[in-house]
Amino acid sequence: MVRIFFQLVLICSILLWCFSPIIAQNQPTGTLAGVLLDSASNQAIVGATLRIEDHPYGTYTNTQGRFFLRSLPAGQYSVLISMLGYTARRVAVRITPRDTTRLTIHLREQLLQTNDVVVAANKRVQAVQDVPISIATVDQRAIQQRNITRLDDALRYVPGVYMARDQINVRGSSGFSLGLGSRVAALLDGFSMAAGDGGDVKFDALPMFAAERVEVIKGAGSALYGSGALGGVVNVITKQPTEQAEILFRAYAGAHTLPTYNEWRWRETLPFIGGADLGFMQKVGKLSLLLTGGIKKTEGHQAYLAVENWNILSKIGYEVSPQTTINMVFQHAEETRDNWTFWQSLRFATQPPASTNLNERLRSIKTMAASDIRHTFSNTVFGVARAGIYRTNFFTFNRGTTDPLINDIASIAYSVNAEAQITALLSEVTVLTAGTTINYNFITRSPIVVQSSLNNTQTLGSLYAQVEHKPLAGLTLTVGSRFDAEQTTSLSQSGLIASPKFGASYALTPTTTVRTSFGVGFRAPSLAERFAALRFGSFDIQPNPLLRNERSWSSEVGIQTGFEFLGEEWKLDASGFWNEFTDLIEPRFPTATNPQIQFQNITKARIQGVEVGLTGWLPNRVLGIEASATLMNPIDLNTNATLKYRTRYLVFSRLILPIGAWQMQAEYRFQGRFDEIDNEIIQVIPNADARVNAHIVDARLQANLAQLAGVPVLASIIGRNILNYNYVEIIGNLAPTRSIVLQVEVKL
Amino acid sequence: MNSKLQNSLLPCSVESDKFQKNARVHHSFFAFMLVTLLAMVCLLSACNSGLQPPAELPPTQIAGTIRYVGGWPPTVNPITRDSVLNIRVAAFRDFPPQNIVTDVLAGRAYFTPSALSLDSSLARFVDASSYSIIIPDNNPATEIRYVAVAMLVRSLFLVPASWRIIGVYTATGNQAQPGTIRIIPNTLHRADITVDFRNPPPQPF
Repeated sequence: MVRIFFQLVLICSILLWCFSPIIAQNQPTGTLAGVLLDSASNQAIVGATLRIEDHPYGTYTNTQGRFFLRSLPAGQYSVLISMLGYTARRVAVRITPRDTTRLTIHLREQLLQTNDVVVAANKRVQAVQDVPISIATVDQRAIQQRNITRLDDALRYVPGVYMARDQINVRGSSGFSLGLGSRVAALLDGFSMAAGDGGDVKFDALPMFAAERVEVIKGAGSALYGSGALGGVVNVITKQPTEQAEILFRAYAGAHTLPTYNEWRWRETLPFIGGADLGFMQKVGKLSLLLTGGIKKTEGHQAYLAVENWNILSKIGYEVSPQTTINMVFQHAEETRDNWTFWQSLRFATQPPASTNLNERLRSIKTMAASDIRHTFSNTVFGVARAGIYRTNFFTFNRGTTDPLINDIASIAYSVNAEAQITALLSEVTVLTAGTTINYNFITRSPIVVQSSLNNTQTLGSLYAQVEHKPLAGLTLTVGSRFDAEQTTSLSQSGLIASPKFGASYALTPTTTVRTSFGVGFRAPSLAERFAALRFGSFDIQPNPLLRNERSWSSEVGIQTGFEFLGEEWKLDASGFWNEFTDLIEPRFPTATNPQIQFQNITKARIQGVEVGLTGWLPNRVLGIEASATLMNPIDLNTNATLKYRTRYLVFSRLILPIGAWQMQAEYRFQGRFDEIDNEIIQVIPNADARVNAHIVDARLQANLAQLAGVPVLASIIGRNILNYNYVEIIGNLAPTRSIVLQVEVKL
Repeated sequence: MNSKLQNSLLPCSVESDKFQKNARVHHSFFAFMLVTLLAMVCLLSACNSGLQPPAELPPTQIAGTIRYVGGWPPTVNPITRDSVLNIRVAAFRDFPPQNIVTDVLAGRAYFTPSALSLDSSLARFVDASSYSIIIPDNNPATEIRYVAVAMLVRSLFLVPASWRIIGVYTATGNQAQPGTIRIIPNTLHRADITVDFRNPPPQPF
């Protein structure tokens, strides 16, 4: 296994070098220097990112807010300056030979959620205006303010996204799949985080405390990200150390309130919620270091739903030379939880079925080690080679013991990924991004798969290329494709899977951009979906090696515009989308003729919809407003009925009321009920048809003690579902009831 | 480089000073009113508090006592290799039923205990035990035409052939003539059953 891993790294490194025959040329160079200041206070902004667009040059502001970019080839550049909490700016500069170009740049504070700069759309840093698809972000400030500790919690606040238990739904892409497979690719700093057995996403394995931001691409993204990006891509980007050392400590404690109804009161005392995270990051000379770790515990809002977990993450970067940087990421997370499946009945919604073994717990251990090498070959060519291995291990055990239960749910699986990517500026207006990837999945121990199939491995290899061209001022065209091949041992090899994409964005005015895109996605069935023989509740899931790839295409037209209203800046983003899916793999529940659960290629579906988002301030910045609405029409083309486990309406709104050092926020989320579910499941899950529209209201109050008392502390009271609205995110599972926590963050 | 690149991502200007104190008060009031309005909308939309436990009515159920006579078979029959793995009572809407598994999964029969789990069983190797079957409100029945005690003899829980009928509810005492129960909602219906291992009933499937 280790040998395979290093072979992949070697292959990728060789490919990277082969892709780049262009040798650095001796060109006259100059220097860019300057200072970055807050437009209101004129104070230095520390740790902001400056990146030369379409070139491999970038830096961060130092502890005095100053920046230097030396040895820049002479010419004219566009510099993109971004910093969390500020509106990004783009500045044009001219570098003259043997001279220093000096700049003083002001950034304006921005309390609302913005996504001015994105990475995931085209695997490089870009201004969002140049990206032809819908993208949303959740930044570290929103993560902190909402007390978000898991990726799924972060995604619940993204317009057009909702969770169906373990499934990320981007514009209705996913249904209910018993925790196997994901129709949205999840990445940590570009490394895939899909489990080697089930292809699913372990949400606690993506450390939110270490996240700079979470980017969500809406729509098929297989042209760059391959299998899994059927409905979208989620990329968690970790913090980047700067020269200023930073120690960050965050702790929270609170409780769920008791259920509204006596029938649901399963205990007399308030269930505890708490946790703490500690992090350190700094760049010293050529070495940069990010270390974080955390521990969390919740007693749950239902009986038999207690969860304890801990995690660590380290990211070490080293500048081998001005042209070459190496990054190494190690992440480990462990979670132990009660093995809750669904409720006993609506009458006893906080209790598991009477036959449940209340001593049974589920432990999952996730470990990821990855490395990338970034190299600048010339002024116009740079590349990255990355490789990583992701190990997942889960098993059930009886409380008080550590031994796995015999013949129960358990698996140890590996997913090895490697990629070599090259980005070349072919001309001033044309950028080529190309690369190759390989993904190798295997299971080393698992009573969940048919034993005769335990030796099955899954290999996916690909080549991809994409060209971005700017033929006219304001117009960006993107065209590309990816070609994948999949081989699962014991099965015949798939044919070549082509995933083309096309996109265009056009700046009608400096503040208005229109966009359109078309992309194809696919998802290869995971080893578990094909070979698993496991238990869901009291039912057996039977293997189905004959599963075919899921396919999708998505298209979108959209407009983003900034305008002045009531004397303040507002931003409107509107889009219409049309997604088609074929061969969707869904569990087929027991019927009168087939008393087993089996994954089958059942569904052909169409989801059309519109999405509108608006952000802005009331006059004098007294109140910030974010609002979005997504209307969808998910149709099962086989039955002409509404697609199962999909909602038609999503609404999200947030109000921000800053009052000096205080900030109040209120959020309202609406999610329409699932119109359709599997009728057969009503026989399995009592009251599975108990579903309602969800109205969730969160509220929080934050005090900046640095302004109030001169200590670097942010203190918050955070209430979730404060109206204690009772709803289900997935059938037979009462969603979290009201919780209130006190959170303290200390930044040194 | 294109001139478009000179455009800032969003207009970025210093804080305007055009708003006077009166305007600030006016706008704050406006913001307060808007927040209040939105809060009211949220509260009104969520005021029904969503799901709630169903009203506490007596369940519609069939219950009774099972009396075992004739001696239990051995834990594992040395000839047939059958085992006494699980004892259930099933109530079928139709007679003759198709089979116990298919009818339960199709909603045409009701099982006890309610959980479909191998771990759940009525008491085995006893002289008598009680049982009850809930007829769920979302899948009601007007008549139950066949109530039977079933024994799981092989571990393949969802395979119909793994089940044997060992006792039948009858109003006449003749196990070949199953009794019919007319179901009244929210009412307990008694149905006592005798299992005679020496005189098993006819297998209906």
